Amino acid sequence: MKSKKIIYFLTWLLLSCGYLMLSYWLQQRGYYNLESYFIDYKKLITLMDEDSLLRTVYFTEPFLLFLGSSLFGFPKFIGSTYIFNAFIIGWLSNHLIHKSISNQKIPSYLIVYIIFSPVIVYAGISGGSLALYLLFHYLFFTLVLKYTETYSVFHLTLLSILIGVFILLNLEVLKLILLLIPIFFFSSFHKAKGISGSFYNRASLILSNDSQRRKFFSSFFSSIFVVAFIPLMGLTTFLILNKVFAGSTFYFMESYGNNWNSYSTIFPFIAEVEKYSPFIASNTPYYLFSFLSVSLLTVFQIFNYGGVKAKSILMLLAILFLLSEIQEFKIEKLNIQYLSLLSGAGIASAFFFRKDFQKPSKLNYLLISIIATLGIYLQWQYFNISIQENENLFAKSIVDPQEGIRVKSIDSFEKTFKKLPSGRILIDDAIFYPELTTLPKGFVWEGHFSSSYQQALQIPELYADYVVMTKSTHPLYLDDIVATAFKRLDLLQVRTSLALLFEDDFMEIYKIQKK
Amino acid sequence: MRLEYYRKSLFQEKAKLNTIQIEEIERLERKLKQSFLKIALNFGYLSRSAWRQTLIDSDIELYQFDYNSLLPIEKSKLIQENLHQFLDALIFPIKQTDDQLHVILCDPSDGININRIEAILGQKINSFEIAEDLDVLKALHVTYGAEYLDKAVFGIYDSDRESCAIETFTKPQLYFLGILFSIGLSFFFFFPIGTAITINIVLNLLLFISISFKFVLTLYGSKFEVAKKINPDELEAIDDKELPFYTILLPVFKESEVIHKLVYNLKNLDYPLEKLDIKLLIESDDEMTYNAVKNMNFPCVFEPVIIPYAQPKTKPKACNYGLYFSKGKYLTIYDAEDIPDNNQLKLVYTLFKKISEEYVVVQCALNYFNKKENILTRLFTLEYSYWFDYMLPGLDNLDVPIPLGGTSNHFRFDKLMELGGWDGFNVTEDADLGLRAYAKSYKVTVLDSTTLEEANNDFFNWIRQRSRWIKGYMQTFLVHMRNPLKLYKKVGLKGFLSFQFFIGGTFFTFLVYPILLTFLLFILFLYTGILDKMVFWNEIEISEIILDNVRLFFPDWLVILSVFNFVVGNLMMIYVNMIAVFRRKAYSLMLFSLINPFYWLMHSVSAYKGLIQLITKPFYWEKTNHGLTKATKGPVQ
Repeated sequence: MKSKKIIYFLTWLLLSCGYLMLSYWLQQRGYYNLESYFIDYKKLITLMDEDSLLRTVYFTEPFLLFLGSSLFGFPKFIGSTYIFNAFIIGWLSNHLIHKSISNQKIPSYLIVYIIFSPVIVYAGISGGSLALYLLFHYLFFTLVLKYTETYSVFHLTLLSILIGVFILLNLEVLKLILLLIPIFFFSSFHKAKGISGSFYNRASLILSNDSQRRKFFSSFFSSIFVVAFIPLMGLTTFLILNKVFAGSTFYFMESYGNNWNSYSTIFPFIAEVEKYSPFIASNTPYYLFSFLSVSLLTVFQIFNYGGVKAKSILMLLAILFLLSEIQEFKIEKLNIQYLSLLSGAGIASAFFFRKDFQKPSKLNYLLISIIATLGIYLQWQYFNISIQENENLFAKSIVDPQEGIRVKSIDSFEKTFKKLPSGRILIDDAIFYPELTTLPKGFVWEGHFSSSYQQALQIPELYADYVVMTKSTHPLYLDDIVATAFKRLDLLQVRTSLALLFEDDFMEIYKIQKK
Repeated sequence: MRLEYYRKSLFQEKAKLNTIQIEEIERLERKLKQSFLKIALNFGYLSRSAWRQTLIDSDIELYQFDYNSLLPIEKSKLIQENLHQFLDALIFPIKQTDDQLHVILCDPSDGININRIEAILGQKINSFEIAEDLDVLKALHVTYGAEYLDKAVFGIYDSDRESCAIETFTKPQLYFLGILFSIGLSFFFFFPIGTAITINIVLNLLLFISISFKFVLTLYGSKFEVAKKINPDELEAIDDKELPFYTILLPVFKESEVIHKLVYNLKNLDYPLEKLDIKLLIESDDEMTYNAVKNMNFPCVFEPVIIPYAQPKTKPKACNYGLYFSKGKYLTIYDAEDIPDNNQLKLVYTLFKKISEEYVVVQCALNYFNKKENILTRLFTLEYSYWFDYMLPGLDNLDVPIPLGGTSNHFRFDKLMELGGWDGFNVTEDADLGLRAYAKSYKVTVLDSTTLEEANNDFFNWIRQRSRWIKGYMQTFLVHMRNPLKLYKKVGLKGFLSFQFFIGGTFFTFLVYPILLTFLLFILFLYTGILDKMVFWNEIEISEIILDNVRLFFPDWLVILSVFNFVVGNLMMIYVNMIAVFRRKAYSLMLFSLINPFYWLMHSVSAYKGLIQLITKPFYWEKTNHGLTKATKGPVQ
């Protein structure tokens, strides 16, 4: 038993190291992830000002990634989120591989799928939030499937805790409670004691008897209540904290600090609108290709349910649920984070077998192997055509080393400031957060959360020694508050003399000449 | 002069027992080696009032004892050595000289037992008088039970002084508390702000850990809810012939109202009656219960045992005394109002057969039959549901010490005797026994069989009961923490930590909860600015001024920490209550878990009462009145 645990732990470490090394190799080939920089930047400013802690809590999305990667400190050679992701996906793939080895009913070819699935690999190396999304979706569907087998409070409670914790990743996970409603409704028919027979027999007996009907609906609504309690109460707690300490219940959504999240890395930049417009136009079915390319295993599980009807129904519900979500919000949701719902559901379903289930036939093994191989290929295609820059970059950097303009720019920023004497910088940290994580010690900056940011924008020479601004070629040029402030000062003919220290395609670094 | 009495005349013609019943009783008489009358009265054949009427109808004048003037006879040593036989024969020798032996007996037709007693005393009975069985039993116990009584009270003290709660605080404990208090005070004097903040953080942290521990335990316990320790096939396979004697102890005190129900509930047990050794433990000064049993007008199924008067008047003392008259291989305790699952004894027997010898106790779940009587009974049901259905199974699965519940704990009798029974000075003797068992490398496990009890439906009665329980937890904590290192060595790190958070954490949270809550509510009240509106005639913002001063000791981040702690802590407790009744399909109770924070405040009141009593009256047994409910058994599944 002990040796099994040691082997389990060692293989976990091994897989995690594998993901980490792959991630490092890709970064050498030009891969980068803004989400990782964003989290590292938030860690940097957590305790910088008096209100930083509260504001970090309110305005860091995804907060769970922030919390998780905080465990890994600030390694210099690689961002902490990359390590966190490698550990999470290392655990997940290790768990699935061990499950597959120890359970004869699970086709061993699925190990190949786990190791080579581009979605899983990307989750392990990306340094973004996909690892958490994938983990969440896998656990969610596994727990639901287990609940349909045991009807136990334990699995309901775990579901509730899972959703409660992962609202820190994305509030929208609450929507998945809707997905549970039909599951609870149908499973309540099977929970009734003393009634046997087919589903229709049970249903007709339960619904035609007053007492049984009352128990049935009580059980159904109570199940929803039990699952929804922790997430809803967690949310309520957060709203109370908002109200008490910030004066408004929805402060985290309404205040200016929320602008942070509008620069979230999963939003495509406006400059790339031509590239992704065919995917998001209201009357185009293009987006379905992206959708279907990651859902093959899930679709297959609808038919390959192994006698567990709940599995088939759940997969169908998952597909319909996500389809309706994406169709409505293509810009925000046609990305791998959301699509991982299908990957998670597919993996959970493929690895779930009831105790009384017989070993699958050879034909079934063959079919699964074909579907898994095809699934890997389609997922690879997804990354090739993805409208998300990061996802695309992942595929490209595997094939060829990439010319990373942004990465170069970050490097230049670091090198420039290393040569300069310490001082204060006026900068829009909602745009230049990657650059700021590389800033040498001794420099301080005025950013969105510092108390004198507004004053610094009015009278820069009093509050700063250096200014960093975007150039018009930068995709977020119009959002750059510092650039806008200088333009306004120009307009008002308030002259601040600036000496250009460095410029590239994206940014300009100036020294403010004191009068 | 000895008159002749005949069994046929007394039992068949006057008491109206039929031939089959008499044959049955005679069979049991031979098998159990007890007197005919005792079996007739204690195995459901004849009621005590019917027997009294029979004696009166036979022109017998019943002897009335004056218990205060009873003295042991010259050959008292012989009686003490053979007390069990005298109790079985229902004969009390009241006067004895070299040539005279006068006895009080209950069945004048019982020649066999009269001869047996004559043989023991080596003397012929010259004369006798007749009394009711209960009176004779009482006379025997109060006159000759002193030795057993002494063991019942001081058994633990004599055998394992360190584990006895007779001394509440030991000297080292008092020194430790004194030093801790002095250090705290001096720190507060020199560094008031830092000390206040530190104390606040520590209290918050301990509160959070205690509650989280309970939450995790509940979750862990719920993991095994689907697993059945005994499946129906195993139960079916039991042959009644193989079943051993099973003792049931029923300690009662002023419970005349529930005696009738008790008989009904005991009769429902699925266990051969002849293999049940049911002892109703009545305190000698409890006239109320005594008379209720005496006047019962229907046959009962228990044997009364009268506990001679001694302090402390506690349930463990009564149970310890009862132990010396028990005959079962296994033993359990029920309260008078309990309704155990009818197959519980068989389930426990099967489980004991399956598990290793190191398991000496099986704790069954407790729940309430009057759960919907009022808000208090509802909240009590919520609490018991998570405690017995999830928390104790959680401890069981973690393999850490389990504090036993008040009743429905089933023991291997020999191991219970080896452990020395219960500590008569501990008011939660059951919890203490669970820990002592673990410390002696024995184990306790739980079983998914339920005993329904009567939930307290009266606020003040509830406070009394709860204050005793919490005081008992304090006593148990102090007893086992006399030597923390020794405890750690005995139970290991896991057991030690669970003891701290489960036993210590329980009363600690109740004591600390109202203090922190008051602080927090006061500060939040200031934050809302309501105070300024209340003092409308004053233009100065008073709340801001007070807040500025309070913030010194209670900075914003500490307030956030406290709010988080309270909200999350309360939510966790609400949730565990909720899922416990969900499991029992008592869906209508789920919403009541939302008022659990108020229920906690009631616990706090009890905790402070318990704390005061711990110092002033440590062994005082706060009596819980039973039989207050108007409800009958509900369909708890």
